[in-house]
Amino acid sequence: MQLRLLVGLILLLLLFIPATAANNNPYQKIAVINLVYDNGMVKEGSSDIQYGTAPNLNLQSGSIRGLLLDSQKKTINEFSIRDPRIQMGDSVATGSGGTAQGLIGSTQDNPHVDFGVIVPFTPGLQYITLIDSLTGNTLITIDLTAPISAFQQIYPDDPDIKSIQQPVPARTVPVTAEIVAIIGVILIAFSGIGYLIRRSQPIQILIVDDEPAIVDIFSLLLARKGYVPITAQSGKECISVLQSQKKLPDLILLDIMMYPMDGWQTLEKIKENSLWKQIPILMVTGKQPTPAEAKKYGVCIEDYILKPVNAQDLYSAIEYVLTRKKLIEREIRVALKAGFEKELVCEYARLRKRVEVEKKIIRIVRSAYTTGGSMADGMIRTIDDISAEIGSREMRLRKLQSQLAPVLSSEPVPVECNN
Amino acid sequence: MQRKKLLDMIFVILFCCGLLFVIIPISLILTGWPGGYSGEQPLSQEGPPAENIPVITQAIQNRTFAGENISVVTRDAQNQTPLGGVDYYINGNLAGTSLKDGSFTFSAASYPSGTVTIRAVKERYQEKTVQEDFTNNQMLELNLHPFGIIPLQINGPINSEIDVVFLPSDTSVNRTTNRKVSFNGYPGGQPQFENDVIRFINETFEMYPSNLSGVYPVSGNYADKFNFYYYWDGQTYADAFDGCSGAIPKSYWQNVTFSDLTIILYSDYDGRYGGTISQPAGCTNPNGLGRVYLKIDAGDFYLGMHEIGHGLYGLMDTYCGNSYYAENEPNSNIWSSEARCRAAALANNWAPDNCRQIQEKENSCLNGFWKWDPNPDIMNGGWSGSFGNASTKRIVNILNRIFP
Repeated sequence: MQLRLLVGLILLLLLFIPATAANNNPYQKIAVINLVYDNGMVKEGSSDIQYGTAPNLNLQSGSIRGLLLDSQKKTINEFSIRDPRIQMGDSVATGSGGTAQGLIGSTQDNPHVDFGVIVPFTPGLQYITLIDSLTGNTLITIDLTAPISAFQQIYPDDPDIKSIQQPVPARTVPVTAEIVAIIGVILIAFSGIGYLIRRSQPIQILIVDDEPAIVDIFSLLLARKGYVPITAQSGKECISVLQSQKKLPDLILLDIMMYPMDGWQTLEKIKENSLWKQIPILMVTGKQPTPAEAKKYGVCIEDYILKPVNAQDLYSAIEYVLTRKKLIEREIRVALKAGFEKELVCEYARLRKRVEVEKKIIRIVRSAYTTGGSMADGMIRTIDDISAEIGSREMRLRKLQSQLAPVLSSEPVPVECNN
Repeated sequence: MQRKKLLDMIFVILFCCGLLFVIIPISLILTGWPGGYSGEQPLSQEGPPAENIPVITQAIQNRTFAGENISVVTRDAQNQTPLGGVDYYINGNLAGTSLKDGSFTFSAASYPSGTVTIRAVKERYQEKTVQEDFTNNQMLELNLHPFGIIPLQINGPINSEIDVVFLPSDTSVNRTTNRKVSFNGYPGGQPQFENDVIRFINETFEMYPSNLSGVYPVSGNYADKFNFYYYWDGQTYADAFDGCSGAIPKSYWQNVTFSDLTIILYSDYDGRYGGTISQPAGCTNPNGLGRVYLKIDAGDFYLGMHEIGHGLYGLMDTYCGNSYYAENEPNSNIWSSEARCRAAALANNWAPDNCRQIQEKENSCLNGFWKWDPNPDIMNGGWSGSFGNASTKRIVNILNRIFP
C-alpha cells in the first residue's frame, strides 16, 4: 500500500511538473491580432508575435469561428468568439420607493468596432482565419509571415524561432556530411559482417573416391567434426565439382585407385589450374606409393595416408595439414616483414612442407618394399637416391631455418639420417 | 587461397574507407565547416516594419558594438532597490540571472554584430525588452515596474484555468443626477479596490454553484477552475462610463493578454435616479478573444452574476427589452421558436410546457424568442433568482471543459 502511494505521488508530481512548466515557461509566445469590424467587413489592424500567455481557447462559443492553420492550411487548433459588434447592457429599473421592477436593456450594435484575438503561438502556426458560422463566409485570413519574421529579427536566438528558420540552400546539395558519414557506417558494418561471415565459415573438404561406402563414411566422420563434406566419385567429377563450386574447398581427400582418371592424374589436373593448385591435397589410398610416385608427387601433396584409416588419424592428418599451412603462411609474413628476401622466404616455405611430406612418403615406400626384412637391390638404390635427394633438400631447409631462426617460431624440422 | 586473401583485403579496404567516411565529416563538423552545416542564416540587416515593433523598441538604431563585458543593473522602478533573480534573455535565449545586487554581466562578443535584444523577466514584475547598442556604453540600467497584475486566488496554470482579472474604474455615475463622476483613481485606493474585488468574488462567483440547477452537476471542484487577479499599478484605470461597457486603456491589454474575462468594477455611488438611464449599470463587450470584458457596480452582486452570465457563459437575456437575442447554440438558453424550445426541452427531458415566449408585462413587450428557465431567473431579473436548466446546462458545459 505504501509503495502504491509512493508511486501515485510520484506520478502526480510528474503530472504537476509539466503543468507548472507550462505556466512558468518564459518562452511562451502569443499572436496578438488587432482587428476592425467595419460595416460588415473585418480588416486587420496589426499583428504581433510577442512573449506572453494566451487566454483559454475552449471557453467561448459564438457566431464567429476561428481557425489556427499551419503553412499547409491544416487546422492546428480552433476557437469561437461572439460577435464583437454587440454590447449587451442592463440596468435595473426601479419604481417609487426604489423597488426593482425589471431589467432595462441597452444594447449597442456598433458597425465599426475594434476588437482583438490573442492565441497561443507555436512553431508551425502560419495563418489565423475567422469564419462567420451562420453564413459560412470567411471574414478574414491573417498571414503571420511578417510578424514571425519581425520576431525572428528581434529574438533570433529564441529556441522556438530557431526551429522554424528556413534551411540553408547548401543542405540541398546531394553529398552532405551526413550522407557521407552514413555511407561510412554502412561500409564499416558491411566489411565487418563480411569478414566475420567469412571467418566463421566452416571448412569444406572435398572427398574424391570411387567407393561410395568410403565417401559415405568419410562424409559422416567429417560432418561429425564440424567440417562440410563435398563429394565426388571420380577424378572427372572432382574436376566438375571444382569448376562449379563458388567457394573452393579448403582441402581435398583424394583416392588414387580410380578409373579412368586415377588420383595422380586428377592431382596433375588440379595442379595445372592456377586457382585450384593452392588447395591442400591429402592422398588417402590403399595403394602403396612407388619410389617414382614419391619422387614425382611428393612436392605436390600434403600427406599420404594409407587406408584403412581410423577417424582420429584422419582428423589429426587434416588438422595437421591445415595448421601447418597457417603456420607456414605466418612464417612467410613474419620473415618478409623482418626484411628477408622474398626468394629466400619462398624457398623456405616450399621446402618446409616438401621435406616433411617426402620423408613420410619415402618411409612408406621403404616399408612397403621391404618384404621378409629385405628389399631388392635395385629398389634399395632407388629409394636411397630419393632419400639422398630428400636429405640434400633437408640440409638446405636447415640452413634456411638457421638464417630465419630469429623470426621463426617453429622448431627446426628434425633431421633423419639416411643410411 | 588467393581468392580468400583477396576477399580479406577487400573487407579491410571497405572497413578503412568506411572509417574515413565517418571520421572526415565528423572532423569537419567539429572544426566548424563553413557553409552552414547547422543551417543558420545571417541576420537580416533590415528592421521590421515600424507598426509591428513593440513601442519600447521603436527608437532602435542598428549599430555594431565592441567586444566588451556588458553590465546590466536592474532596479525596482518604484523604490529603486536592486533586483536580484532577474532572468535575462538575450536575442531570445536565456543568458543568465542577476545577482542580489541587481547586476548581470555578459560578453557582447558572444553575439553577432548588430543590435542586441535584452529581455528582463522577473516574477511579480512587468517584463521589459530593450534593444541596445554597446558601442560607447558598456552599462545598461533597467527599471522594472512591479507587476500590475496582482494574483488573489490561483488555483491552477493560466493555460488551463478561467482567468478573471478585475480592473478599477476611476469613474462612476451619480444616480441622482445621472451624470458621470470622475475620481482621482479608485475611491479608497488599492486597499478598497482589493476589498471590493474580494467581496465581489465571494458574492458572485462563489455563489454561482448554489444558484445552478442541480440537474447538471459541475465536475470537480468548481472553485478550482478559476484564477482571480486584479490589476493595480496606480495609474491604469478604466472609464466604466465611456460607452456601454466602458473603455479600457491599451496599456492594460498590452500587459494582460491571458484574461478570459476582465471585469471593470466601478465604485458604488449612492443616489436614486428616476428618469431614463442613459448609461446601463452593467454591460458586456465580447470584443474578441482575450479581450472580453464587462463593467459592473462593485456592490451589485446579482446584476454582477447576470453580467458574468453574458460575459463568461454567453447567456442571453430572458427579459423582453432593448437587448440582443439569438439562439446561442450549442446549449441555448433561448430559442427562436416555440417548436425549437419544445424540441430542446424534450431532448433534455425537461417539461416542454415550460417553454414560453419572452415577454413582459402582458404583451407590452413581446419578441419572437422563447425561453424555458423559470422565474426568478437571473438572466431575467438581475436582482434575484437562480439559473434554470437551460442556463445551467450551458454554464456547466463550459465549466466542465476546465481541468486545472
